[in-house]
Amino acid sequence: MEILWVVAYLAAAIVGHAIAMRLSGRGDSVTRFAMVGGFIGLGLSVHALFFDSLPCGGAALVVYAFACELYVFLFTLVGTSVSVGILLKLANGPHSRSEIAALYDAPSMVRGRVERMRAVGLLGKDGFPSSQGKRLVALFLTLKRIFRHPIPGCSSDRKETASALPHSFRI
Amino acid sequence: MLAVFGFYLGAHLTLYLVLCRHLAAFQRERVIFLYHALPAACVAALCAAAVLDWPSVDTLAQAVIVVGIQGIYSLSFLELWSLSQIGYSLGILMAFEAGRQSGDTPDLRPFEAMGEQKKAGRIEGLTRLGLVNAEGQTLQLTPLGKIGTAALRALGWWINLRRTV
Repeated sequence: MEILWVVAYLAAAIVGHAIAMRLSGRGDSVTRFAMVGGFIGLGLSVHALFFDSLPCGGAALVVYAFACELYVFLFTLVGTSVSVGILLKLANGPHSRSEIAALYDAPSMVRGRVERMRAVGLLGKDGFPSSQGKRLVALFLTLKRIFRHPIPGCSSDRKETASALPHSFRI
Repeated sequence: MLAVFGFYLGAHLTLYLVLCRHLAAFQRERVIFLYHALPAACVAALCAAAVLDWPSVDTLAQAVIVVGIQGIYSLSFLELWSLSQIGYSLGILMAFEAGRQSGDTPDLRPFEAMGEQKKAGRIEGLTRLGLVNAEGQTLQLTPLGKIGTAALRALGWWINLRRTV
């Protein structure tokens, strides 16, 4: 029975997100879903606390959280993925490789990312990373070190890597 | 069941941090995916066996919690791994900051080259997945690709997304 409640709460979050995306105001798609999904998740927590046993309520919350994460993964994929962009273009009919190459030319890919970063506030009006942008870069540089991914333009040596980074990104 | 699962999850993460991340093989997408997918499949199979052996609401709830947490852990890990590996937008942000510090215009040419590589790799990837059929120079969606694309387009319409590129 609890699973039906999870489906209902999840459907409410997805419908609420669709409405939030059509309202004017600030915030990107992820922020808007975090607000709607978080609020409805809070409702599910209260529901689970009062109406379910502990394991069933816990299971309902875990399923809701996992479904939300999967949903965020899917809609961010639709919004940003190069592969999805190619698929959507091919949905209009066959294209030659050169047509796809022309539609997704490299300068416009970079421009698209820059526009998106401006829209979500990672790049400031002055054209440079905002404090939010700098924090995000610092976070991902930490993750790159944890996963041992190479940092573009930097040596694998940790000391050299740090000194090669722009000063404000060093952490 | 939950305590054993907690121990396994801790061991899985510790093994990666202490040993696996230092191995060259773990820089490959396929290997890191299998590092998560195979144990996750085992966890799901063990949970199903537990529910069949001790059928009760309590066991079922615990099995759902275990599978759900495994899903959240693996999906989060793989997303962060993938985002920090590619780092296209991240690199562009770094170039802007480097430009601000040096007083020069940011050099975005390396990212244009990276974009070309990404695009070429994606077409081959979509062909391998059976979503796109490449006959000579012409690209078109396969029947599976049409179904997948219709679903993605519906999701895009549902949340009113406007793609730039």
